[in-house]
Amino acid sequence: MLAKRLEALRYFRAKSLPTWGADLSELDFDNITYYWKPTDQPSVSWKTVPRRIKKTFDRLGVPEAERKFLAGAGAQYESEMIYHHLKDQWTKLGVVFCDMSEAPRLYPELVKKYFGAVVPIADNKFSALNSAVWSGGSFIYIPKGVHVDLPLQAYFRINAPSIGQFERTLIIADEDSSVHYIEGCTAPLYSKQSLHAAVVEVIALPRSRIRYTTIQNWSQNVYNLVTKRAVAYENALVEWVDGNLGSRTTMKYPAVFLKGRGARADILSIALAGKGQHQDAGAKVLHLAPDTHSNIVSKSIAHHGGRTSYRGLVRVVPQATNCRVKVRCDALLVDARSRSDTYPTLAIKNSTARVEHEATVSKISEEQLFYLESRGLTRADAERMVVVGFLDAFAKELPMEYAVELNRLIEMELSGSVG
Amino acid sequence: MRHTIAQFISSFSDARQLLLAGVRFFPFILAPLSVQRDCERSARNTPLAKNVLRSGYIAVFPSGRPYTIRFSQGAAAYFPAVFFIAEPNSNITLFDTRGTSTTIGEQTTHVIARTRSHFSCGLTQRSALAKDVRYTAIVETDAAFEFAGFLHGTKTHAVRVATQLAGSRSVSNMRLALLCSQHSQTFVELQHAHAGPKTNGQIHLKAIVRDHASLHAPGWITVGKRAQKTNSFLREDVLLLSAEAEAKAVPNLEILHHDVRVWHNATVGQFSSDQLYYCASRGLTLSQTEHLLTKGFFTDLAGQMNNHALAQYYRQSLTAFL
Repeated sequence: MLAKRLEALRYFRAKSLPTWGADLSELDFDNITYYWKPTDQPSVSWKTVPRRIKKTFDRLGVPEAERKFLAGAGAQYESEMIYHHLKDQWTKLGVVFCDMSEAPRLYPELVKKYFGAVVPIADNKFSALNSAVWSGGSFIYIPKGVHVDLPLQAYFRINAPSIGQFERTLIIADEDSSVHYIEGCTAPLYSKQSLHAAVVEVIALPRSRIRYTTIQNWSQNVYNLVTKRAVAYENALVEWVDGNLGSRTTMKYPAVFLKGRGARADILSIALAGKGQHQDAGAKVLHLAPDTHSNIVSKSIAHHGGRTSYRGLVRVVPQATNCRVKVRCDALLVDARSRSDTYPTLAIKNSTARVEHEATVSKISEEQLFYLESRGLTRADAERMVVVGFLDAFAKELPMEYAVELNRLIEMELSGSVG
Repeated sequence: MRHTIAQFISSFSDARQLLLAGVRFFPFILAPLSVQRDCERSARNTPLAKNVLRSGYIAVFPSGRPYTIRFSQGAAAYFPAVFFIAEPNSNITLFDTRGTSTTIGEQTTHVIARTRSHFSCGLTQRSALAKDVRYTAIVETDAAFEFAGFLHGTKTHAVRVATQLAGSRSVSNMRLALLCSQHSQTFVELQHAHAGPKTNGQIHLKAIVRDHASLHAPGWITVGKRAQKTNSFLREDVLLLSAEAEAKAVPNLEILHHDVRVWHNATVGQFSSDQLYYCASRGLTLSQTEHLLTKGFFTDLAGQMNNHALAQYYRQSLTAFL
């Protein structure tokens, strides 16, 4: 692993910052702490947590202990009992769910085989950085034929920083298995660090199903530059459900390489950009085998002068016959200062492929507002309701507690602009 | 190759009548300063070299009765930079038919549609396209620009059509049919830049890519900060008719104002099996079926054109080729 880290560091130094996408010119690599030892001690004092974040916790109704955990000012112990109970169940089935830092020691064969197999260390500057300095993250292995009914949540892994700055996540679903993994949370996550460069590798072996749900709500000093990639083999299904609410700048394009016949990819993402934020998100699907299907839905809202960008790539190679692709991007601009961009690329090299792409950019429709106002709602309430309804397809895919909190958070975020 | 103003004027099929009607023709360097400035403004967003700009020719169409003009270029009379200026309240329909020479290099046509003018332009180019064909238009307040093109390429070439909707309530419609065959590599870039308020733009590209041909088709809709109430769409439909054909559709949007309605869509596919089956069951051979469906695929664009003469010209170009 040390040799890999050193090699990755060389690539990181050799590679330049991307010339496309969001502005990263203010990113200072010399002013970042690349590793700190996970301890039970709070990493920041509750007093130093910005008032805006504390206020949001109040309004969301986040419990006291969770507030300190989310703000990096305390560790979470309350759910330890639940975690241990679930862990016993999973262990009986042969499921592995542990901290990625422990995985090379506990499961060397699996790590050796799959670590870096999906996202090579030289893939891009930030994956190289992550490969060099990674710590934390989750390692999951689901054995053949096992279906994990309850979603696995990074939130449950006690005494390990569930969301670090350079975490590395590796998920392997063996044949005929299924798993749903959730990371992040809707409440704002405060960090003193200015860079979050994670790498997520997902391997869906034949006929398996993996759903990966992320909700990031980093504080607005963070550059969130994440490389997420999955490989799907014969008749496997990979679903990315991706919510980007916080951070100063996000560059995140969940990818699926459909390598086996009949493999499928579903990518659903939302982005909410407020003042000073640029959410440059998107999706990438490579159809490398026949009869593969992909469906991409992206929804974005820009308000208070925020900027959202959809950047996508769909590639169909010559040998990938009978592929089906559907891409849909909808953007809502709430005020005159905000901006929305769409940069999709459809590169098709097989004549049997059927590819559809559709995108719309609009403001909140006057007809909808008129309808709601005529039913007694104030204009602000009507606008908030339309915005929440716009993201309904995403909220429906989340566990209930996340969906409720997400809706409240969006209403709060917008209250300044549409209220 | 150096040309004269006489050659430029004679490229218009009814030049004598145009002169009598008050159309003014200038070499760039002899044009009034105000006209030169407008041409420079129009060329600002293109990589037009200064010496090419200065060797350009200008036609200024006065307001009055509508004109339908035929303009043809070939290897013998090929102008690297041409400027068409439609004066206020004028109504111009121009048919630009290109020759089949393979020697033509870059060619840029600039259109300035002044206030309340209508400028419709039909472009046909077959067999071998000029290496780089570029159309740009600046559309002022209440003016309209309509572009319809049928291009058949068998070689490497690029086509770029860009309209700046500068004035309020200006309108621009682009319809382009493209047939890429043999080993051609085609680059087509279509762009609407909405700068003024209440502007309306429509772009529809239809392409058939067959044999070993490849198509790269980026499209752009950009909406500026003052372009409220913009209504714009970009549509790209591509049919891939052989296993070796390739297409890359890149429909981009950049929106800086919230009070807009902008959308795009792109499709890549092939003839529907239902259509093929229907035709086969009526006794048509595969090549007859493909011919019929190709014609139907492209003819559909004519129905979207506002200018009847332009639609007629487009249909004729299509029929002549197919």
